[in-house]
Amino acid sequence: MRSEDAVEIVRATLALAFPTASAEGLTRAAETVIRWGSEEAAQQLDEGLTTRMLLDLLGAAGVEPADFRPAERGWLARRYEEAAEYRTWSRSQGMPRLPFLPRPLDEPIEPTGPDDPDDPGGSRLRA
Amino acid sequence: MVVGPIPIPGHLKLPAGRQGVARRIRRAWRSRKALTGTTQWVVDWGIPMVTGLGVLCLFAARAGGASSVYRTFTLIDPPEHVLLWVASLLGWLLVPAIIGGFAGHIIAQRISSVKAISTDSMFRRRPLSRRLRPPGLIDDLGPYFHGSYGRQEFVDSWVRVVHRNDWTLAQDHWEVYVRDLMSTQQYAHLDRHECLRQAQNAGRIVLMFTGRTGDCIVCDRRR
Repeated sequence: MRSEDAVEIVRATLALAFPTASAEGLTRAAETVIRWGSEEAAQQLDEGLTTRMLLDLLGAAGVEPADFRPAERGWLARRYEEAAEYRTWSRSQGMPRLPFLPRPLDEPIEPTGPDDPDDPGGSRLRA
Repeated sequence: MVVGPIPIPGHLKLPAGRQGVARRIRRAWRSRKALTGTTQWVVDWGIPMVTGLGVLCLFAARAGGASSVYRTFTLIDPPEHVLLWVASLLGWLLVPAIIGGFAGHIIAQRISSVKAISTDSMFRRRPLSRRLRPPGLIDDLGPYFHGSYGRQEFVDSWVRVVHRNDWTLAQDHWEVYVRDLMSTQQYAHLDRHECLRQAQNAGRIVLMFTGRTGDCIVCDRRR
């Protein structure tokens, strides 16, 4: 552990709790924690968001939630927010992808004629 | 597990109250790591050296007079007794080296960072009140008991689960962790308030989750 690198300190700390994580996963999770710290991500938590944050951190470290062993049984079975909900922190590449939300359809535009800047060829009028 | 066979308490105990004077001084001493390198050097070495020099000059002045101390210290007159010999040597060797080195470092730092702005202060107003605000301290964990959900969750994990309701030990290890985190490259160049804020935020997140498994890295390393 290099004392001059915050990522190394956080990484060594996470290694105690995530013993099954890979070296790359621990580094990614430590970098995520450092970024969350600068974003004040822990300021507006509730129970669901706290569990969501842990699940995201496990995702960043590449650890299965079943491999996380809390000292108190059943702690991880708490309520948690779904991934698509609003969250107070940013995501990392290691986390599972959010569900794809397609862009809503545009409102139909009434064609106005050949002077219409959106349809200079007048194709809508011909149709 | 930190304390071994002691079972995890069912509820978080109330903190004992305000910290004693000795513990507050220790917390302030550990919080100095949020300061810049130059200010830390002044606190760690500059103030003790000036104090030692002052004591030496006081005793030398009582033995031989203030004028003779000044004239010996500035190498105008030769030393006449032991204390003046020490003052003469310090004035000859130590003072020019320290003042030269200190001033040289500050000037070189200002020249090299004349256009550098840390990301936390970029695009922001920098009022004089912010620059003159005194440095903060590492948080006392006691008020977290009645704090926001995130803070209560943190002390529930860090104090109750990991340290078995031992608030004193939990506070000690929290201060040690934040102090060492503030000494790292990521935080050392930040503004003193920003350094303390970011290091504590990151520390709260990581210790809250690792605490749930009953692990404390400070206990682990000191075992």
